[in-house]
Amino acid sequence: MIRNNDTISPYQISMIVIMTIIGVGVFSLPAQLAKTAGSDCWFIIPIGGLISMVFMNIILLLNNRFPRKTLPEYAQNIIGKIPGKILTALYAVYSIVFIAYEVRVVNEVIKAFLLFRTPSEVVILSMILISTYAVRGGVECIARVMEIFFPLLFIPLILILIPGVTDIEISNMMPVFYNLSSKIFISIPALAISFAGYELLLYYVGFMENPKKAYKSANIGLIFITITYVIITILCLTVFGVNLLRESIWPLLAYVRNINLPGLFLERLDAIMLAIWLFTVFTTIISIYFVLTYSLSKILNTKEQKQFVLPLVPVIYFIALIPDNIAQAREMPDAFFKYFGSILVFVVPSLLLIIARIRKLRGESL
Amino acid sequence: MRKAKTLFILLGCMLFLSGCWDKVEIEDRAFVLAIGVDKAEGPSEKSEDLVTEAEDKYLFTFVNPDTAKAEEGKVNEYVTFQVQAPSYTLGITRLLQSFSKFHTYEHTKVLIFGRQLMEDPLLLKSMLDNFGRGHQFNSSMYVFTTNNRASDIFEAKPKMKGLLAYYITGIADNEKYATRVGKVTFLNFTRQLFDNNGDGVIPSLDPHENGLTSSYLAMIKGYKYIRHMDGRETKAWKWLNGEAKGGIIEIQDGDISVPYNYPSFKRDIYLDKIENNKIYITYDLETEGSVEEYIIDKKLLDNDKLQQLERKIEQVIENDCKDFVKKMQEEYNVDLLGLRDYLYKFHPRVYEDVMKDFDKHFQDNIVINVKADVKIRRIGKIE
Repeated sequence: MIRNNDTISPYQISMIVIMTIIGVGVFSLPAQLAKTAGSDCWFIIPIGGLISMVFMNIILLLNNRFPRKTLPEYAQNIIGKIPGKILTALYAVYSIVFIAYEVRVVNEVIKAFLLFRTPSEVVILSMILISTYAVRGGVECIARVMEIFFPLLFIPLILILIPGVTDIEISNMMPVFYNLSSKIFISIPALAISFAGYELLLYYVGFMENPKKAYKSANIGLIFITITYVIITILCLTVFGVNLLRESIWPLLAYVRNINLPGLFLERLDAIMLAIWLFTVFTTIISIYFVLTYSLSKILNTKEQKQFVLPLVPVIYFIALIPDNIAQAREMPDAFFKYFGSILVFVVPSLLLIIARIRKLRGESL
Repeated sequence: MRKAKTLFILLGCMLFLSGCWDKVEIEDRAFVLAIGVDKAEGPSEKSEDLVTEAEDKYLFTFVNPDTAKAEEGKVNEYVTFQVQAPSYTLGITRLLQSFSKFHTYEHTKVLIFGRQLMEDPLLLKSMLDNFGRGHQFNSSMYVFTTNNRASDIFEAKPKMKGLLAYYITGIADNEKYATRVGKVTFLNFTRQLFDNNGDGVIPSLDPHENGLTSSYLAMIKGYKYIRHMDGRETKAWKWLNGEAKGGIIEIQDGDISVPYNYPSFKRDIYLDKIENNKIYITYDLETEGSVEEYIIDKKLLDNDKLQQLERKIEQVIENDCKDFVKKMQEEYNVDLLGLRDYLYKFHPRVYEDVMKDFDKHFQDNIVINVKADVKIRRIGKIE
């Protein structure tokens, strides 16, 4: 198999995990969890993180069985050529809808808070077109973009969240662990979209020189995300209280909007917050976008993935415009990520691993 | 070829960069510093763009700084604009028909609801929704009501020159020195009503000839204004809800007036026991502070004397609070004591039992005791 010598370092794998998973979900996550879990919403996140960690490590096990190979390659090995291609196609479909959903939600937030008169077409297209530039650079380029954006995103994010701490009311976290068991099962599905993204490791670990090193870095990435989510959820919960949090659509943005920095020319920080957040969505999009084009190149047996990037722009744009309004756009992940997404994330990798074990298949060892 | 490419890129830049849809120059913005909302009076404006004739429900007053009268870069004058409309957005649209700027609310400091508006739950709820839902509003503005019309507030002539909105936020910030002054942000106000099924309090800001005064809270039950509290009740509410940020308690020692100055006030609630369907609750109030006013030929540096004063202050607090609790339970049957919140947070099982018929339980089955613990720590710089 000819490759363009693209390799990823373990550190970059952490970055890819973090920057892919943190996307549009983080803005609405506290509210969605508050609906089902009430004041225990913050506690659901570590549980969700643990579940994700189990399945992420299954993915890593699978990848370590076939070092330096990506899903489209070893899937054809494990379950045969045509079924393997069909499976890859399923992941491609998943990716394209995922991108469209991300772009659409970005558009809704941007239109609601920042650019009221700018047409949706411009917002969506500029978002996708910028991503195409990065994706055409290949996997190494993407990994480096993640590396660069990581500090650009998290340092300002922390700085922005700090001034809001003055409004915290710790007792809003009470009651803790009340009727917890009944809350967990209905709340975990709401996390599906927020933790979605680590399945892309099925592809990215294949670009590593030594996939064994992926265990440590990918798990660190996931822990980092879990902590970030917990902090954000606790902040929103303590500032708004459960009842108000439930009603909010984008609680994190409302949290930032509530901050008042008197004396400064820039009294409101939400524009900065949105700008930072665009980084996270941008990195999520390019990461999935690459998986999409790479899958297509494997299905069609081409050497490069570049040529698929631009033709997909109108397709993504079209899918992004399907939901009629914000309510439909929010229902989209419910049906899509909960069922289709969970099969691809939880069931398929486990099945592939079991089949590979039974058929005693293994990639070339290092 | 290269020249053609460059030219193409430049032309492209011109095409794309000129099309900023959302550009509003700072000169074209009208910064709204305060908003007043009243119930509309008088005949409705006939509107041709409405299919069904909607009655004007609100009277909006907007306060903008008068930038034309800026002195040395400081703006001290302000102008007000009024408009009547059936909804907020329509009001803005009507205003813009005769207005040369575009409203921005990033700097809005104060939101005032008129008395008539507060008496109508539908109107109040609509406005709470509007200011909470609208993307343009910030949630850190202070909320007040007034004893008459919100628009009267903006006609007040404070003695010190300056923008009215900053005068009002200045009063609100004095909450740390005067217990009766009210300060609540829009976010906290809506949260309070949301958490308590529409029961809560809102500080009142009343105009008089020398400016404005904030010294009372107004009671709201089910999103409806009931009445203004008096000074004692206002203080008691602040103590019982742990909202007192500082202030004084005045007692008499013989003929001498002794003001006790406290910089902080702590409140704890305990559920003592549940017996015969009655829930026994204790409010534990704790404060420490100083006395810095007495009489020159008597000594204050005396432990017994101080303890005697402490008991007196405790009695004042306990009496005021108990009267307030009694009034709330027996007369108005509204939980303004933070009790629902406390039970929900710390005794969810008890709360589930009383949740359905909370008002009835509050009236009949909850027994509240108030205990105050006052410490005079300092007495100033002479004995």
